[in-house]
Amino acid sequence: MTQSDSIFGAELDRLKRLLTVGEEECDEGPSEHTQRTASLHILTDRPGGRIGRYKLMSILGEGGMGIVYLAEQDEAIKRQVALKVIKPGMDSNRVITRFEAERQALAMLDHPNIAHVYDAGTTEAGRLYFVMEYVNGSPITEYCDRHKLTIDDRLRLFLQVCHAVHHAHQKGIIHRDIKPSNILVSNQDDQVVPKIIDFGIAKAVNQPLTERTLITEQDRLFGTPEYMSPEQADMTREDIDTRSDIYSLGVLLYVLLTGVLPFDSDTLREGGIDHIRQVIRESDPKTPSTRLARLGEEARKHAESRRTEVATLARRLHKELEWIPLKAMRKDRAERYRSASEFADDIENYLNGVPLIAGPPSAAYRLRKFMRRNRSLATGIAAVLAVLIAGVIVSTLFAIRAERKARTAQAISDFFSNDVLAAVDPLTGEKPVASLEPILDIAAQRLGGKFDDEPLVEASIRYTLGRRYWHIGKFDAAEANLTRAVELGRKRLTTNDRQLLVYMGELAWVYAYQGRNDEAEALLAKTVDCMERALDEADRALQVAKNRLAWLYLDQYGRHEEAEQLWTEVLEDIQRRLGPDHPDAAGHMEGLAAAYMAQGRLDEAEKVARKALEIAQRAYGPEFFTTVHNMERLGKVCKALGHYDETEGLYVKALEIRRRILGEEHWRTRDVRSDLASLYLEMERYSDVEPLLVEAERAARRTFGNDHEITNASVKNLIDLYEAWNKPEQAAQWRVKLPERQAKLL
Amino acid sequence: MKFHDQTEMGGTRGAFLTTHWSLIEDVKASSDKDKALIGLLLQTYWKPVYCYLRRKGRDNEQAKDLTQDFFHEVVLNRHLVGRADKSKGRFRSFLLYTLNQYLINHDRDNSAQKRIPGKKLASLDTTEIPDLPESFSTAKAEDSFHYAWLSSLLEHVVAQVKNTCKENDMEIHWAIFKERVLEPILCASESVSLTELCERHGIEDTKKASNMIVTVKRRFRSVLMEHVRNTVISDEQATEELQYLLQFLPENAQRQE
Repeated sequence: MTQSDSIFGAELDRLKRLLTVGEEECDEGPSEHTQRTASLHILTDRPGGRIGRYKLMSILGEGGMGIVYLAEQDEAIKRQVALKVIKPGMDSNRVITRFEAERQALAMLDHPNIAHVYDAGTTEAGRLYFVMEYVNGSPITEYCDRHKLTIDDRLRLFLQVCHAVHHAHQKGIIHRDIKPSNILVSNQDDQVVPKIIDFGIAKAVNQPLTERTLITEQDRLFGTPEYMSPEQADMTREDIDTRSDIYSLGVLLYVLLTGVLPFDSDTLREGGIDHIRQVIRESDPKTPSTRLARLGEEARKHAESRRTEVATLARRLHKELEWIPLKAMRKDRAERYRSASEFADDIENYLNGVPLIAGPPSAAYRLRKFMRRNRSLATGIAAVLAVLIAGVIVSTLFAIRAERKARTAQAISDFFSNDVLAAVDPLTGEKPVASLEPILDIAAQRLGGKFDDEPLVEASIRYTLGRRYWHIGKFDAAEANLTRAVELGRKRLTTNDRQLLVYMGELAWVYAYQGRNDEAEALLAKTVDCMERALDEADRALQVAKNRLAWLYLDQYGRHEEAEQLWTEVLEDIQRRLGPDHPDAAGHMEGLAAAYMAQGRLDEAEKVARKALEIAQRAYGPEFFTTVHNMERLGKVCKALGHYDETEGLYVKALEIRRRILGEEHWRTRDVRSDLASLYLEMERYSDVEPLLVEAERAARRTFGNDHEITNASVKNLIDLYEAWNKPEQAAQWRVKLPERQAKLL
Repeated sequence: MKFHDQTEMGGTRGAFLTTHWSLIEDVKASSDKDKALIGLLLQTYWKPVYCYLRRKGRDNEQAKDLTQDFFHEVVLNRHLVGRADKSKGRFRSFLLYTLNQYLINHDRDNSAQKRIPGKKLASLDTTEIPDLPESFSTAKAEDSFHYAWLSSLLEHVVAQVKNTCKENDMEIHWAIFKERVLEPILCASESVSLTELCERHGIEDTKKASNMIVTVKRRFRSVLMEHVRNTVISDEQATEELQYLLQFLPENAQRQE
């Protein structure tokens, strides 16, 4: 047999022994070692498979800090130990110094669930090593999965860990690197025993989160940033305290309960160090139940390892259980559990069915979280929402007796944060909320039954929701909520009560927008009537109601003089009490101008409209809706007067603002766009009309769908345009888009 | 030739080739350098590549051909070297990675053949068909690669040490080293006692024999480190590389953590 034959083809462990030839100075062949099945030596310049009084036996594993060997101590005492040799690159002296500082304290650590650290030193080659109690177990997460421990069992196991950590904390020792592979679980005499290893080492070794800790070594990533607390990730290592361990314990519990990490490893690591630091410091983790819900098929596997089903698990987590790890994982450490024993207490509370110290995330917390995610819409939805909630509270409180004010305010706040925003979170996920509607929908849906013995509170919330729906043009939803508000109001109030009258007025207004003019007028007239009797004439609610009634008269019935009269009444009132230039007048003046216009009294209309616009601009600024209304009104007047240039200027400005604030599809935008288009049409500026009509058609199709009268009307407008413009081919192109029966009519 | 551009050498990626390059500095003509380099690489590293190719389903002839083509490609086509970012300084990883890339390209586009000169600059001169050991009979291609890498490394070390001994009139040194250290490891035979060795080879006393063996062991060790060092780019990596080789296990073996 040739030499090369006997090398290639030899079993692997023989080759490995060849690799170790020359390590010992002695001449002996490997005979001594043939007894052992796997005799592996540490690579040092110094010969011998020994370090100090420890003889290396086998490799237990490899981790971020270095290699762990199983070794035998044969001096002083004979025992098996785990010997961890730290990777090169650490400043051994500093580390040893730090370790020495803790050695005393470490020696005092005597807990059945903490592995002893016996010794530390440096090899002759300068490699740092630690000697610890040898624990023959599996990482806690693996153990739980392999034995399919139930949630309760896992919690009880985790309790032991908490107590151990607390013991160490009381002795002044922080672990700093709590993670599953540092908590080994084994079966001892039929007992499940977890043991925490590496106490005192992480701190001594002091590995910061740098590029080095994430070096890819044979494609294995070292360092476990997933368990690192925000303050550790922040590199201000000076003031790390026990709460950092609490955070890591929180992450561990999260994993034990759900099977997944709060921050997904892959996405965490793909961004590099700064990204990792930022995520840990700033991003709020998804709640366990949310994470689980998102997993899909994988969730089943996790539920199985807990001997339960996905739905059950999610429910259980969502109710209360998930608050516990989340509280431990707060970014602000002042908000975490104050100690590992408090942490343990809360788990026991849970197991005993007692209310938890960890409450649901507070309203402020949720709102902050919501706002953060919707930062770009800060001036829009988030702000509106905040105002909405505040508004509800304020308006409700008017109707409630003093002693219940605080409780009611809290109840409303809780409703929005726990029932509404909590439900919104899983819906929107990473994408910001695009509109208020889903939030309103959820609120409306979940409101039922929440305030059964406080109808006025529910009425108040319904009222607010109704107004918001109206504002975004969802008239049917507005009607549903306002109807309910009135119904509920009637349970406790009469038509002498302002609150109820306000609700009625609002409902009537929505009827008007739904085209139910008779009903609108009837209800509104009644409302005004009652208001005049029950309220002060200066009351704004009365003024608003009159204003609306006037519009009804004007727009639908041609009852111009009645409309004019109502407005004049209101304006006189305002003028008398508040002066001629008071902002309140602006809205009513717009109406008056419209009334004049309808009667052909254009000059008077112009005068009033201009004044109104001036007041509104001064009082509210150029973009407030009252100002824009007045712009549009003046535009209409100017158009009627033939002052096309001024009209164009006003309409263009108004359209731009509407488009920007309300969007292309809002009905108010639609109105002013179509006014501008008509203007251009009259001026025969067809090329200016075209883009407007195209936009209108697009918006209509998006809002109403393909076969709706408004959509078809907008198509017809385009056909008309092209025919007037002498572009028959374009006209034909659009004619095709009309449903057959419509096309025939042209 | 399109890719024949020596100035592209350098940097981490070119480092291994440079290391080996330096071994053949004395070759003068430029075209000879390529030939020498290909020859050297072939000779040193053909087994891991061959085993990998066999494990990937090629038969003996195909694997031999591809092996030769591959090394031609590596040397002549610097492009291939350029893609090996992931290896971070280990020739072993680089080779495996590059081999994989090569296979992918080769399978995808047979015209790759055209870039290699019809007449090979250097060839694989062997009739042996190596057999992997039993524990590797069902191993993955990568594991086979690594096994073959390790065994090739050791073969070369052994061969070099043996040669050194022969050149320096240390035949007896080699013989007793072989009998007392090498063979017991490889063949699980009984280790020969020092006394018997002295008798057999005419050595004065056991102490002397002992020292002789130690000398060879030291030599063995330093040659081993040198060979490992050639395949990485720093001393620190050499230690780690050796550690890796010590710990390497095929996938199905149990590991902790």
